[in-house]
Amino acid sequence: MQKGTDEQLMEEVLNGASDPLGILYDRYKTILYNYFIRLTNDRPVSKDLLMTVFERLYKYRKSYNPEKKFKSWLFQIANNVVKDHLRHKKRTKTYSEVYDQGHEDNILKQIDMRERKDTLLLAVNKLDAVDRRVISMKYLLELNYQEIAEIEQISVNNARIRVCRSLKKLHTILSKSEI
Amino acid sequence: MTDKEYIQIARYLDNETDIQLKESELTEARIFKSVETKLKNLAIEPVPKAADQHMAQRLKEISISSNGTSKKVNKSLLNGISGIAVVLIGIVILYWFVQNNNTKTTFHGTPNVLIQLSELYNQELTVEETNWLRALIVTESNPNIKVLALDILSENSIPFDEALFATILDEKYATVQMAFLDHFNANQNNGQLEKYLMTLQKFKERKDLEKMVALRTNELLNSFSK
Repeated sequence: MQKGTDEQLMEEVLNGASDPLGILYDRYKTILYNYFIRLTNDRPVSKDLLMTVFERLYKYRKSYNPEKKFKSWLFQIANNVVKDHLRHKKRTKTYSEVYDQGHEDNILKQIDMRERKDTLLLAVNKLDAVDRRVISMKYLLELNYQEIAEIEQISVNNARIRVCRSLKKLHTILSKSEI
Repeated sequence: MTDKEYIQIARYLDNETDIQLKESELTEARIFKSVETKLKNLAIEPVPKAADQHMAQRLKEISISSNGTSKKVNKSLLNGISGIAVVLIGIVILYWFVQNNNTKTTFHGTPNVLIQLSELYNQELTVEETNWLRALIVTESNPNIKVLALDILSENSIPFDEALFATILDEKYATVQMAFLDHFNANQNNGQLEKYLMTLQKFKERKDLEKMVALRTNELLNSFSK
């Protein structure tokens, strides 16, 4: 199996090779799948979104700038994919319905999570979409503030403020024992 | 906590060495640190095998198609061409005609762009596609391409930002101006009108508007004031 940096592999993908795409998929599938779970709270949807990311990566491969980090570009695509999904959902449901925990499926998931004592994940799911996103970017995808700022199209200081506010909200949820 | 204090705390949590925190900020930082630690240790779920199998299948398809099956690509392109493509082909011919008749106007658009645009009709736009269409409206000199891009955005009820809508002020082609007005009309019901209104009033003051465009502009402004 071919190895190399992400950027080297992407260069091969640009030349039409499919094997390097498989290596990139193996490298990032778990982190992206978990990112989508945290943002959508829906595992089947997260699986589909993961597939969509790599479909788009291949479709728009020519828009990749080799001078930029592959990881940032990939996460930008992932973010667009999840935004498209949520926008599509919003056409049929209101924003709060999309994120609310009131739906029967979500209640079942909550019970399931309680059984697994996954209280933190439950708390994360109580945050709104923006908070969930920035927290997941920072602590799951391990992006720095500069990268978060680029994806969210905000300033670096605003990225810092958003992450801190999200941490504060998460702490409040945890300490109030809402879950 | 103020925004400035949050910025300091975030930098402190990132181990920036020159950061000195006040006592109250330090207390908050310790709380954040404990939440951070929990988040970093949050369980990671494995990807379902079905996803891996799907990806493996997709990689095979890519491998086959990249090994010289341009005919397949062409066939799938043709399958995607709907009735709207007939109009596009007409535009391509018109474009060719204009170029080959040495008129003063030359357009930089290519038939490839028109084909790409035809693929976006009747489908939900991705963020990349929306951004591409928006960029086309600003950068393209070919009015046919601009009209199509505007039409697709209107069809998808994609709102403009004020800066993009303001490009109507410098737009010289009546067909493009009308497409902008159609977009304005299509957004009547989604609360986008007010931010366009000032631009539209400025646009109305232009002396070089064709009669049809001027009438349509007045009509829209009147309908808004009712």
